[in-house]
Amino acid sequence: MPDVFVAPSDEPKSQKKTPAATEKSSKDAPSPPEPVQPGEIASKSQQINITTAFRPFPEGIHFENQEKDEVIQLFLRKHPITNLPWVTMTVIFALFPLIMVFLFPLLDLPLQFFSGRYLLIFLLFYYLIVFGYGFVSFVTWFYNIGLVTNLRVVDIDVSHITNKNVASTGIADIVDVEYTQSGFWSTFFHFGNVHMQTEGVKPNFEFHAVPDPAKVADVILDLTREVHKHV
Amino acid sequence: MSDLFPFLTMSTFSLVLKSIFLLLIGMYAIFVFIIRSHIRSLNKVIIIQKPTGSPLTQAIALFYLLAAISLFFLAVVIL
Repeated sequence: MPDVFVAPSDEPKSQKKTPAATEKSSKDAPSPPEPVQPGEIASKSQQINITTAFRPFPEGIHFENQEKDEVIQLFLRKHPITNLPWVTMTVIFALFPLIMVFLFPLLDLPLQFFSGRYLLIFLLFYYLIVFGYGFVSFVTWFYNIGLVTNLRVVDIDVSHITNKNVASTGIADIVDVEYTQSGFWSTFFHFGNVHMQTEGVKPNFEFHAVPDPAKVADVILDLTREVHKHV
Repeated sequence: MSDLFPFLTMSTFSLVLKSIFLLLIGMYAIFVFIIRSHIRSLNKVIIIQKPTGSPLTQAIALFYLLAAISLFFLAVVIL
């Protein structure tokens, strides 16, 4: 991880080095890295966009009941490739009426009693449903979020559009973290499930189809070790 | 068709068809309203700020609801 916050040098700026001294020091020690303005990297890379599925230390995101000293360390969604089935279905449904325009004359269906007005309303209604299907599928993916903070793990599950489940557990309650990657797609696109085992009767947690599951498991394990050290 | 169902004249058939269309679109508009309410409640659980977060999904949901209501009124007027 690059150093974002570079401590200011104690050396006064007005102090000038002789060319010889400069040459010697450049030979002895490697040149210091270019100073990076705090927030420069953050503004470029930590913003969440519409397709973000993995973001360490995200900016511009808050959740319900977030503590003042609670910092989100990891933002997770399902890998974007998991959207492929519904995107494909939406495109097929959207193209279906265009295909039917060519098929109707061939099939010779008795549609003459449907006036143009009815067909127009039917078509608009059909496309509204297709748009709805795509939108609901997108929202289901968009709000299926996993968060790892310095205090807990939060899992927001939206299984259907009218069904949401928000669960969280303290980092200290996690006793074991493991991940699985199985199948062609998850291996090819490098995503998998991260399973967190919690203490006693508390329910276990799972992040489904998250990108880079090894890194996610590693981050959570590091946090749990850190917490258990202080307990 | 009127030989088989003498009561089913063209005007009655249109009325039945219009009622079915309006009923379906009306029910769908209610469904879209539920979706919008659900998105609003989700935006209270998690707030993803600009540029493309919670405001975008809320705007799309509102557009979707307005489209469904507009279609209902369009069907009332032109059918």
